[in-house]
Amino acid sequence: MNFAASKRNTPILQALMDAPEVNHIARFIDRQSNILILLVDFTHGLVGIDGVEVYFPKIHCLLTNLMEILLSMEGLHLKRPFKRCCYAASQLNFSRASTDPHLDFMNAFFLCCGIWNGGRFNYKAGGQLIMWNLGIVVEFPPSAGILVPSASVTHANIPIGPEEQRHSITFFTAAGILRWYFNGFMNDNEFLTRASGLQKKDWAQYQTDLWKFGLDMLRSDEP
Amino acid sequence: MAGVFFFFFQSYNQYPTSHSLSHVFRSEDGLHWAALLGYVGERNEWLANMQVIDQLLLKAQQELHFPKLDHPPVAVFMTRFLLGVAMAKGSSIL
Repeated sequence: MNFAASKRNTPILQALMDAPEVNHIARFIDRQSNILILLVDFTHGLVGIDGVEVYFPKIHCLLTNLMEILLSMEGLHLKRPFKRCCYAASQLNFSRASTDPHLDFMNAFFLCCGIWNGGRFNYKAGGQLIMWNLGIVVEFPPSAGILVPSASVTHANIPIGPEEQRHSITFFTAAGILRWYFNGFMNDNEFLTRASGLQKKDWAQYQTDLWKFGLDMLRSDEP
Repeated sequence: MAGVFFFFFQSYNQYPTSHSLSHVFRSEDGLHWAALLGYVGERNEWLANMQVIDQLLLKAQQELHFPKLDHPPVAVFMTRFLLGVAMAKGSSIL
């Protein structure tokens, strides 16, 4: 854990994030987001890995490399939030987690954040994820996860019943970290203060073309 | 015994019994827009893991303490106070 928390809360949160089961979830989100999908037949158990599919490999590559760079930098003393997970941060939502329609403006527009939800609720009656821009509502059963570009796709949850519980864990990497990295380890203001005229021109062009880069990150390489 | 079985059955049915839930939502131009992730590995093992996580999260929720969330935020109080003062003075800041 890299952020400061109170003396009381720090060990509780750290124990939670160190728990193998929670790391399992992080790995689930990470692995499913980049390597393979195991097709599971629930009546016969694991049936094989013939359903291999790559979801967002470029994003995963970018985030993994970014994490490795940050963790290897001297002086930062950063700790990896979850073992073998490409995301730099996570948020825990307890008890009756649901959201109003929103965009996560602090994320880069092309980055997919991972959302896992758990608890005991009727996923047919509540908890569905609404993605307004896509025009779809997705049943979101407990223990499933979803990857969505949360800065570009307006999303919300349908509330659950009064006696039900729904937790969620979100995994994300803030866009500020990417900007800091692409600026040569400085924020935008610092960069623009120090940059030469040519560098500022290139930077402005990079900002203008960023949407192309973002779309390419989301694009599948499949035929 | 029937009650125990019923409880077990109810708990068991909290989770979907369909096949893999994995599904990708993507546009015609090849962009992946979202992916719903199903289960991985043995189902029983997966469900047991989920129940442990539920317990861990419930326990953490009970133990965590955020004093600022237990009381009305100072900023909200001050905003309302200043609005009240402004309105009392006849300002039309609203």
